[in-house]
Amino acid sequence: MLVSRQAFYLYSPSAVANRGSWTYLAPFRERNLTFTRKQLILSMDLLLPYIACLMLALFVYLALRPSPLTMRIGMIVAGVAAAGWLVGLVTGAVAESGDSTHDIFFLIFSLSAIGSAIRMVTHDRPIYCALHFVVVVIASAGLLLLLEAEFMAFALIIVYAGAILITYMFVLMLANQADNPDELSTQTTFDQLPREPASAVAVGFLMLCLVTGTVIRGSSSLPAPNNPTDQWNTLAHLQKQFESSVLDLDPSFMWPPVASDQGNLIRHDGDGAFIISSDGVRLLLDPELLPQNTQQVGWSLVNDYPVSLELAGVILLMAMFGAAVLARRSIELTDQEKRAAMSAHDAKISNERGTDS
Amino acid sequence: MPAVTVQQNVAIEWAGFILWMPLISLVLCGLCAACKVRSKLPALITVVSLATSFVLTAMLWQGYEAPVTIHLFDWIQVHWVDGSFISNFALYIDSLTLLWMLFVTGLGTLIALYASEYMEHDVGKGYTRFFAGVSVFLFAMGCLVMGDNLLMLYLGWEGVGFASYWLIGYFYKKPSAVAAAKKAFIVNRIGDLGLALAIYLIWSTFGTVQYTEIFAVLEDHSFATTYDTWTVHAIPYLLMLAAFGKSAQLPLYVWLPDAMEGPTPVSALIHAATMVTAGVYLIARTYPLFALDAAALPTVAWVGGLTAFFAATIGMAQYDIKRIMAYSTVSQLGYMFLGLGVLTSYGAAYHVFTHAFFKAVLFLTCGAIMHGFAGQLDLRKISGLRKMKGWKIVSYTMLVGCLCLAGFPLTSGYFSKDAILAQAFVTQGPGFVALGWLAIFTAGLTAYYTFRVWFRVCCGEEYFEAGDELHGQDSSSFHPHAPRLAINFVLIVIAVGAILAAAPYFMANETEGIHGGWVADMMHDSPAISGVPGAVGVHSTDGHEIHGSILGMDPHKAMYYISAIVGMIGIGFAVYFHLLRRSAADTLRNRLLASRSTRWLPTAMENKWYVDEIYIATIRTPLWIIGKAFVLVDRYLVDGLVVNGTASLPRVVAKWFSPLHNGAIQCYAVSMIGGAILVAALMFFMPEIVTYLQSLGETGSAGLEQTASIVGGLP
Amino acid sequence: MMTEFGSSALAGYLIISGILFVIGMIGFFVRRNLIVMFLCTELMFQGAAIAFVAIGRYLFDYSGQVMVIFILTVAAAEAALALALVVLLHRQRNTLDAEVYTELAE
Repeated sequence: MLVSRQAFYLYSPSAVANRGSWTYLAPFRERNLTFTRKQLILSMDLLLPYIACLMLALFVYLALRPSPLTMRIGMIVAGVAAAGWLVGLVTGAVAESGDSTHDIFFLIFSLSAIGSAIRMVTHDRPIYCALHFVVVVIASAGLLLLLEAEFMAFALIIVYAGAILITYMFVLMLANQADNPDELSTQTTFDQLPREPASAVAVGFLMLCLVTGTVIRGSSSLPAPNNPTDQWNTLAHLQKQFESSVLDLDPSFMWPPVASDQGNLIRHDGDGAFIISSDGVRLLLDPELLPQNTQQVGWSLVNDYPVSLELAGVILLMAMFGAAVLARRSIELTDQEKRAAMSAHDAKISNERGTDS
Repeated sequence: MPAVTVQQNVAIEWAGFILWMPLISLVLCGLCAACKVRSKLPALITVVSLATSFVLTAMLWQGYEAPVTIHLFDWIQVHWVDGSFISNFALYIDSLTLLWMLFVTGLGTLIALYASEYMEHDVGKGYTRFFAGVSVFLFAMGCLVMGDNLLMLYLGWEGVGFASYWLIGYFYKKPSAVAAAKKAFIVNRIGDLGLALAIYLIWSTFGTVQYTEIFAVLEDHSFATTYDTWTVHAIPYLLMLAAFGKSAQLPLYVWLPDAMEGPTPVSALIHAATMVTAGVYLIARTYPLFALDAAALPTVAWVGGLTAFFAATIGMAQYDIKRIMAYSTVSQLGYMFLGLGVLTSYGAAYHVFTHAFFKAVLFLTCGAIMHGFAGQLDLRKISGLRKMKGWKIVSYTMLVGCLCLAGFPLTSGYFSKDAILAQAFVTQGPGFVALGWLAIFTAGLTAYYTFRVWFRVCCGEEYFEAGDELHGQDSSSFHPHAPRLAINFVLIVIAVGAILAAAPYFMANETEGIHGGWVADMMHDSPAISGVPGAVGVHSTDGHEIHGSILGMDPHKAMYYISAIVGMIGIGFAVYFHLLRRSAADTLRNRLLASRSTRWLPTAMENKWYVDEIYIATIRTPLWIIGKAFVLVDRYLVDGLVVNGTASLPRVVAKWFSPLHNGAIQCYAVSMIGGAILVAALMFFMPEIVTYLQSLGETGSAGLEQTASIVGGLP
Repeated sequence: MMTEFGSSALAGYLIISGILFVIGMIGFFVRRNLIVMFLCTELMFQGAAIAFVAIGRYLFDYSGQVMVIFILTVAAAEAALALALVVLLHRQRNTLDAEVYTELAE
């Protein structure tokens, strides 16, 4: 197994210390590093991620079943170890200076997401599972915020926590109520006991190792990202907004700007984005003029995926119809009505046969 | 050994009918059985066909000049590049053959005639089967004696074994008869193994199984030096083993006394006169081969001598007269082998000839007694037979037989036994003198037990008890059933033959330098010529010209007197213990039993020296245990583990896998996703597989070669 | 997308999404309550959504977020239908236990 230079670079403390807040080098830029033996052992990227996965798997396994106190202690130890690795992965030395707000928020959101997810999986009572899922949704919305995808974050909260989970809760209460209305306790055995936790955790562990290994090994061979300046293309398509924002910036600008040789209205150079008017005035565009995340997403949807958009609508429509049909309560026919229905059915059959033969 | 010229003579093809007549009789008896004939027709058919064989044999003998080979038909002919195996159905007629065939067919005819009356109780039930068996036997014996190659001899050998088994087991509803038949066949089989191996070795050494060609190869005196391997030395021992099996010598004699379970004509024909002499014939026929190993003939002599003594001691203590006769047969066969071993094949052949007659007579008289007294054979329960009405012929023919057997002077048995006893002192060999004295002592014992039978059964006051085969009659109103014409006629004819068998001794010899009468003449033209007195000037097994002596006298002359005296002593003992004072025998026996030091002697002798029990303990029981072990192996290992185990394997394997199909979707989900993850992990950790699959898609076969080199170079 | 987003940050987000997905998967295998099983599938969707958005952020491509919209749509549709089916199943056997439906067993 080859140890990628980049992987070493990622986790050695000196490299982490030099990182600052997300300002580390792009993966295809090299850097000369000398590693001491201690650094190598600490990095241990051959095995450390897998051990961390194992810790997490143990934690989940022990959390699943009702276990004695020693096991509980072991469970906590394993969980702390896994969490510690995650922390170390993300931040390295927190004591170092640098803008680490993103790191902190990332840790908060991710740990709470994972913690809530595990509690959701292991809780006895289904309602609490749903509530924990709400926490997971909020935490992942936070992660999406960190990824500068505000629209997605709020859409997630609205749709998931607001709609889907409410539906789940309705059905849960419907089902639990129909079970045994006289009993106060609604805990059933099938909620308390897990089903073959060992094989499930084993498969989960394998998958986690696979994912972790792929991510860590393959982070050096990711495809090159797109040009960041492509974000300005959306603005060029939003004519009215473009015009109004340019004129807000510089009322004396001669609209429309002149297109470049490739046909782009907005050109880029070392200073940033700019447009050139028809009389040669070069106007540097403020980065604040960039469209918001919502506009970007909306433009991408409509421009690049119109058919899928339509189909998504159709899917929703069909789901609505299906749910309505499925959940319809069957009408209880009285005996007389049943007989009438049967005779009508028989008459219809014999008519058909008579016509056939 | 002088070369024997062989002529191919097609003008006497009718000689083949000596073999075909018994075969035709077999087929016709089979037809009688199929048509459920209820008369004595099968006996008539058999007697007529056997008489025809005898007449043809006599004609052959009259026209005999030199050895001839009569080719009947091609049988087995296998040729390949550097060898061949040829065994034709051909008859090799020389004087040895004729000597044997004369008494085989003659006695066969007479005994068939005897049996036609003896077996009349079974007319309609087993009569036809009996005569079919006799026909088969005579056909096989003919093949054995007249064949011109060892394979035909083997055919006859197996055939007579089969016929003996069939006929001993004639009373197939009696368990003891069935057991005796099996015993005979199985013990013979041991000998047959020796014969088969000997034939293989002979063929591989000499390249042929035909007598003439074998002896032609042996004529070359450099044979002994060029072929000195252990296989060649083993040939005489294997032939010896075969002869001992068939002719009931130590240690393979145990079947002969039990073979008395068969009907008496069978005992007379097969187990006295003809089949048991097949061993002697084999050795006589292949006599030159016994020179291949220096210790072969002395082994034969010693085994023969010891058997003679051993069987005589057992015979002395038995009470069943047929058993006594059976043991005496074993003993006399021992004499014949002794004769062959001390280089008097003439003596052995002469003894065969005379023994055939007098033993047949003895057995037939025992049979007549059994027939008349409803199966009674115990000599303590019949007495004074010669005074009973209608039993005189039986008694006096029995006397003739007993005299010959005991070697009373001037009977045929006297001369033939003399020839053997004398030669034991003439020929120089390992321990032959001791063997000779042992043989003389045994002659005395023979005389004693023979006359014990006669004095007990035929003399003394009249007394009888009915035997076991009353056939529904009441024992108190039982009358002995005297023999009628057929039995009496045959008894007389054979007794006369026994007396006349002494005559050949006095006949002048046509051939120069030989003495011994007609039998020596008959032996002269055969491969056993080295055993003919005067034919060759060699009197020892190692080639020196030495003439032994007995008590300082010339053995040939002195033996007349010595054996006569010994015989008289034996008869004298018998007279005292069984004629004059019968109670003395019982007193002697009781005294022997009372004393601790001699108690073993009568008990062991009466119990046949426990040989059967030893065989059961050492051979049969271990084999039975091994058989049971193999039954267990078969039942539990082969059947249980292999067959049933393999059959239940799919079910067991299915049981392992059936929990995978428990219907719970989560279980299915785990398996699906687990499998997918494993595949993904495999492709992740072994990217060579991914490149291989990609190359398959892209370039087809060229990609295969390319990636094969990649894959092959990796650990 | 103003701030820098390197491959190691992407690694962190992907690992988080992987963990969420795996926990959801384990939950799906382990729980016997039908509704909780579906909740766990929703958790798996969450993991996938984070992964999509992270990779889209790294590649400066908005297709990742568009995928998440569609995921959301399908998840909603699927949740509706799944719950309708659960209601029907509950009517039949009067229990939410997934173990009672084993007619496919051999």
